[in-house]
Amino acid sequence: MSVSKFDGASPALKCVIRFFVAGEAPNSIIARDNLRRLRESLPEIHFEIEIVDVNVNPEIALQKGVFVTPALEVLEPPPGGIFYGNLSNSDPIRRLIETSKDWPGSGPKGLSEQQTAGHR
Amino acid sequence: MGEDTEGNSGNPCFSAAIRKIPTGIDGLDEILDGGLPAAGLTLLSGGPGSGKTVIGLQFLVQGALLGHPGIMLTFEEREDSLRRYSAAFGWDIGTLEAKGSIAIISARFNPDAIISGDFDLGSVMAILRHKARALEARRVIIDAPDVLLRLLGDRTKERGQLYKLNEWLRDDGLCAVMTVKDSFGEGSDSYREFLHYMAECVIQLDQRVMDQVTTRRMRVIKFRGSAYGRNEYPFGITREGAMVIPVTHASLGHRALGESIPSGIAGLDTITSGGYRRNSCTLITGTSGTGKTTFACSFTREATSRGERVFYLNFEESLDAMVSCMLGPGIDLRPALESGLLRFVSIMPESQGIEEHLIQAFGVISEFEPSFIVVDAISACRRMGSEQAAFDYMLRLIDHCKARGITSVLTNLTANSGEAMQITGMDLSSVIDMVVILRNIETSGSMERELLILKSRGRNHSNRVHRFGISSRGVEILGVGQESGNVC
Repeated sequence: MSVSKFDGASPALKCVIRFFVAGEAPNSIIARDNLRRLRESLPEIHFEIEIVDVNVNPEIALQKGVFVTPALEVLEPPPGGIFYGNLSNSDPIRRLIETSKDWPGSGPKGLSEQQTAGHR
Repeated sequence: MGEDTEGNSGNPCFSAAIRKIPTGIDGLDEILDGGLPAAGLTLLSGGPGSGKTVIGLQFLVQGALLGHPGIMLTFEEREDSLRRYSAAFGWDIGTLEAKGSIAIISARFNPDAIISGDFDLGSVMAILRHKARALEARRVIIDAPDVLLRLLGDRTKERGQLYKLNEWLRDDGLCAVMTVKDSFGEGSDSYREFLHYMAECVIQLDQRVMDQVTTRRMRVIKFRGSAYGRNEYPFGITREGAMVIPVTHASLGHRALGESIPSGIAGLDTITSGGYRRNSCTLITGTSGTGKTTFACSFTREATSRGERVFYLNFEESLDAMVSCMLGPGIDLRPALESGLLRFVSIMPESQGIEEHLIQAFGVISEFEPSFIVVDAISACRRMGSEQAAFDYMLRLIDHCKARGITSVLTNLTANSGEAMQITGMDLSSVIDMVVILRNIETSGSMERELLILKSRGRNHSNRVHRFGISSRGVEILGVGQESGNVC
């Protein structure tokens, strides 16, 4: 029933990210900048980014098992993934997001199911 | 405050200036002249299975039990496997965690993670700092950081991160123990040098095989601003954790020889002016079948019948075998076993290294508090590894007993009667106070038993060769009654 929503106009794919940085550590500054560039290069994607500064919220890092910074966790779209590093090489994350973006082409039903699964 | 610290560091008596935290591990604090540096890094280096993690955990648990919280940061193990591992040593980590005395942080690398540029250990340091403050912990074990550091991809970055970690540990005044492996792969020499430079104290553990028996050794390589034992020390890992064998002290703390104690053989008492002496070490030596064990058991029965405790360490026979054999010469050890005055331990010499043997024997001694120890037979100790291992074992055991006023009776099996004259073949004569030589002589179709007192410190003894017999009445020295005036 919700399938029709994705017909026609380009679908706005949502990308939910949890981004772990360590204050103003050099790698964390570089990573912030690289992430900004990545967002700019993917205008069709709607990003939702939660930034966790491990110096302020170490408990979250511990709970999520993130022991190096910067680290980026893709929560949506599925299947998601975890990246360590300052994103100086953003190819892997771009490919992960873009592969997910291409799903509508493989059939609207597929996307619908995937999204429902992701939201559950 | 600057003046205070300056005043301290200017103190030439440096061991007083360094604050230390006792490890609570027997023997280790002795080597470290008090304990680990209270602020800064101690490196615990060793190959796989050398006991690094056990020592780290033990330090943490001993501290936690005394009300000093600590943190275990491991890059290699899961929390639950560390808990299980600790339980094997009787350490209830779970309870200590619930009380907030211990925290385990398992910082294992997520195998699915994709590397997309440079990163650092900012997060793990933030977590560690957070936990240390929450628990008010001063002790931190950093177990196998190389696993995560390796991911940084190059040695310069690894050093940078370690340096940062070390600075932080110093700033926060934490006592940190870091376990590292022995081999660092490529460029290992300069990396090792760097690690050693960073640390206040470096302890090297190793495990080696000598004649098919594994032994563990420990050596302190450096300890900034402190005195320390510079030798290599044997240590063991037992069910209670690691234990370093106490150093044989330069000053012999042996007690003086005391009163005579009946040997359980009336004739032997006569020719030795009263029997064995308290705090002494007596060696009964002879070839196979000369009656050494019978002499030792006669003494055991005599001592236990007077209500004294005897620890019988047998390297050759099982309890059942020995007890039933001794019924032949009329020596019934069963009452002593039932009353608990006789503690019998039977063990194969090759089953463990000398450290484990010593720890086991010292354990029985401290718990059972015997007046006497019988070791049957010390010749079997060669099977603990080597001639040197046997010597070390016996010397440390006798030393331990003499310092505690425990009288020892040793038996020794010699291959031929000529060898018996060399006493033990182990050079132990300096710690042996009395030697009884037993031998079998074949004369015109029959065999005769002979006995000779080779040495008896501070006492008159017969210089003659005495004949003796073993019958259902036990050992009888023949023809002693008439010649008792002949002792020399």
